[in-house]
Amino acid sequence: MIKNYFKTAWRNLWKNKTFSLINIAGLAIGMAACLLILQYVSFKLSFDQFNKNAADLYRVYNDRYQNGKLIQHGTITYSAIGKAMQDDYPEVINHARVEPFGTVIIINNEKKIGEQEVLAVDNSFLTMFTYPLIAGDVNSALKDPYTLILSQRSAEKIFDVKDGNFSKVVGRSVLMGTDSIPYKVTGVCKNVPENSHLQFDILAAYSTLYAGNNSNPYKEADYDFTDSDFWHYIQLKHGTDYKKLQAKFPAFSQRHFQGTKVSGTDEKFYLQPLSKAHLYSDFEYEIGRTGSATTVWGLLIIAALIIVIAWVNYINLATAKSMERAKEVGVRKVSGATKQQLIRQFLSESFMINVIALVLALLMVTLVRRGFNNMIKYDLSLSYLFQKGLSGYNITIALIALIITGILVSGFYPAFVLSSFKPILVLKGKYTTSTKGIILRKALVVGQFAITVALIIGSFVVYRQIRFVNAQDLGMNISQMLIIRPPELTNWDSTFINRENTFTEELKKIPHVQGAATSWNLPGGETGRSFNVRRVDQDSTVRFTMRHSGISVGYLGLYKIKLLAGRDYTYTDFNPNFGNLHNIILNESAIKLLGFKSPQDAIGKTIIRWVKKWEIIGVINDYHQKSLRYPVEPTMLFPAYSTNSPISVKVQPKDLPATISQIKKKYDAFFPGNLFDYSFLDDRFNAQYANDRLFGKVFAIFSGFAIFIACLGLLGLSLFATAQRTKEIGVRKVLGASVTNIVALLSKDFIKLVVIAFLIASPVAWYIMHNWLQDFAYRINISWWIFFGAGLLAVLIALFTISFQAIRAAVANPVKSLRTE
Amino acid sequence: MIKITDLEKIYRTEEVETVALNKLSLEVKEGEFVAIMGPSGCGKSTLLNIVGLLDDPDSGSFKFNGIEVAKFNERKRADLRKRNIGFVFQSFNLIDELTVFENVELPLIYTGVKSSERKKRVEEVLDKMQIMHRRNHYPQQLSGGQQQRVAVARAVVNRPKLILADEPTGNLDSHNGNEVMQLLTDLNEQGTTIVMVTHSEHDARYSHRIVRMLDGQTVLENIMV
Repeated sequence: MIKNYFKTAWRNLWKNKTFSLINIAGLAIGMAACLLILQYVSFKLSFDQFNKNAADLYRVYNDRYQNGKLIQHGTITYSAIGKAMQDDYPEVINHARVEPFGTVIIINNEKKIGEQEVLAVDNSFLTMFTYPLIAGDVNSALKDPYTLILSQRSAEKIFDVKDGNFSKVVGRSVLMGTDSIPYKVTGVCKNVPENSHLQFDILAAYSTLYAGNNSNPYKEADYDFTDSDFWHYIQLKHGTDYKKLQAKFPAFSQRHFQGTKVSGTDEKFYLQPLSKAHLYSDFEYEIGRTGSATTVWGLLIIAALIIVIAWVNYINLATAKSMERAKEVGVRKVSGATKQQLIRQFLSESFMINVIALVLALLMVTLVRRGFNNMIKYDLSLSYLFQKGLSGYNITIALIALIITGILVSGFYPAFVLSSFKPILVLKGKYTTSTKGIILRKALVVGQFAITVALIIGSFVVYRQIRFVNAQDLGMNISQMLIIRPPELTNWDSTFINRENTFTEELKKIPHVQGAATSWNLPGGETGRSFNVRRVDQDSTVRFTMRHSGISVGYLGLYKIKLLAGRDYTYTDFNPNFGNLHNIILNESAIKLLGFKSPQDAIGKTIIRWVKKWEIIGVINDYHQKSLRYPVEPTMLFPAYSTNSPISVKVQPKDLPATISQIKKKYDAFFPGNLFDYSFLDDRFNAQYANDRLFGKVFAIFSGFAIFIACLGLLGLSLFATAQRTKEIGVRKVLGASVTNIVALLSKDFIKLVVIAFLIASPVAWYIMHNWLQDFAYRINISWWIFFGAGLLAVLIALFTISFQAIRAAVANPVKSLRTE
Repeated sequence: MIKITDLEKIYRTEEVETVALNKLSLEVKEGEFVAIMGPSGCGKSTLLNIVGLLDDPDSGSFKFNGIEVAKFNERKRADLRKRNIGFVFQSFNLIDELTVFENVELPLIYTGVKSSERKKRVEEVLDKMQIMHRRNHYPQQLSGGQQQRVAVARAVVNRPKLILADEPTGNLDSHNGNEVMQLLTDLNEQGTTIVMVTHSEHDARYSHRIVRMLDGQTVLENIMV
């Protein structure tokens, strides 16, 4: 029996090649798109799940309030927090402090290896998390100061390990940056998985910060409640409800901080499950790799919509086609087939088509895998679909359930419709389409096009917003800015400022170099915060929070930041000793926050930061230090240099390689022993939008897929509709209708559906995109023409699709079509 | 074999109510060859539907081999149908995607006959219909007469007690038409009961009895000599 089903199904597919092609292609493309997105989504959801203790690990985050206002929302907090929590609460069974050293240069004798990401962590980190050691002892590797664990990759680079024998590097020593005390390698760990929110090449012993032979111990790093520069992870007893523990934190805060007494701000503490760290981070001073949950869920919805469109196509085409199958159904019925047998037959048919489509889809995914991975910058494969995700194996289960439901639903409806035909009527050719069937088919087309229109609107909005943020005036000019790596291996001394100034002056002599300056932070980077700033004439209980950074002479001019009042820094404002500095430049927001009437009003006035007085000598315009997702914050710029300040060089694009090589020559002469490296600022700055761009790109591509599949469906339906009306067209032509008349006649019905779809989709799309835009501090208005454009596009695409068939039918010789009767 | 009493069937749409069968009574004895004639819309097809167990009446009684089947559900009807009734249509109604052999085999598949037995029986009947040489052809490769012979083969392969023929010669020329009528007569002589709907007085003359219908009722019966 089954054999007979498949035989008929197979021959049916062959007989209606165009239809089958449209049907299977639509399904396969839909499934491929769905699988591509799903593997990305499951990858995103799999972050940190490789940790055996993932369910019990949390990171501490800390909200700081000043004058009732949230001034910092970060995973950054005080060094004592982890230990204090473990001491205070039996539910906390372990804690680890983390402090990033940033990207440092590792020196092994004469060999210098740059770009090594170092995290300083407590030894407990090794047992709480699952970054397995290939060599060394988990229980003691990072106990002593000045010890470190290399990742496999780093060990290979630094010590040229080629034979996989890593135990031989244990016990060797390396230098880190300018630190004169060597670090002992006590272990080698496996490379950090891609789906780890913490990424590092090297782990250093946290105790190095404050103990051992450290000539400049950082006391606050050990156990302190005043300096909030540290990150904490804690492990709870298995099965603990973290929300219950969290509810006890107000008392914890009161006990250790006594209101604002200890740290100057109101401290609130919370826990975030490790599994959410990657996707749910709106935190400042983030040290982990972050992604956007909105993007992931958005993509998941797109994936679901695409596959739904594909199945709707299948249902639509199958039912439209059902009239031609009606005779077969009638014959089978009179030959003794029961309704159940017929349903089974058509289900096996849809099963077969779905399986063919799935196989093709898997093939397509394999083919485009490389390109897709290049775009999203991850090395993904379908195996991620079966990885444990944020919600266990739910994605996998959901996927399987979706496929089964899809096959059943897409198979059931046509099966049901077909098996209900009245055989005698059908066999006598007195078959009429039921109005219910037509209405349903129309509803399905409307649904498909509603989804399509919504996706087009979404793509427009994302595209416009990204263009908007790119075109937005940042209040500074970051174009053609070459960034040179800071001379971090040079030791800081009283001559450094002079040396750097001479260096930047020398650079200006190179043709095509227009200027150079340095700053603690580059545009796009996160600047530090001062929590205790006020005017000198204000009460000492008044506290304001501002961003701060240090800039060199010429920085404002180089970046074309406008001076609204006062003057720019000159050489005399600088001093190698930070304590001797007293002049400061603020931005407009800072002036407003402090309550000055105007920029002019602020000039010459004194402000106090912690206990030190500063005189305002200049006020600059508000410029965007970070992406337009964030508002401009009150900012103070110190006249300060650092060996960690990257050097900005404004260059003309002409002869760039020659210019760079001349810059390198001078750099090597002024800062011998450093590693020369450069990058372009606009790339770095725009990297802040990488997630949004990716989202936009993926959105557009998959919207394209959705449109394509919907069009395939429309093509199939129009093919069918015109076939149905061949006789009518013939009669009309004989009576004098022109080709245009006929095309209009055939298109009208479909266009009506697209217009209805547009009316349904617009408000939904508006609502969703409006919410998406709320993430940006600076955003576009969704204007009417976006809707108009999307609607017009949908109509045009639909018209284009239908026209193939309509025109063919319209120019056909009527005599022929009438004879078929 | 068939005893129908006061059978009613009414089709309703939102606006109109059409009485297709109006208190119709009819009896067909085993081994009879009955022709049903009447103008379009008189209820012939509805009657054939009900007699063929493809549809159920609204009221009245329908006894098939002495069993009351008027209230049978779909599954029971299908079961009774596939064991007892064969159909022949005006437009042949062969499945285009199946070969001659496969078309004829279909009823046997639905009654669950084993593959080897099916082969034997299909070949037997194809042989009898003289289309064995066309067994692997598809319907569209056959002439109308050949197609109708395949359709008859399909109708009889299950050895039904009753054959319902709905204008079996309507799409055939007179030569092929006569051949089909001869086939039906042969079958009837071998014991199969035949009920045939026809517009053709010529064809009707092959039968034992002509039942004439009008407006859902039988109005006249002619016994043939």
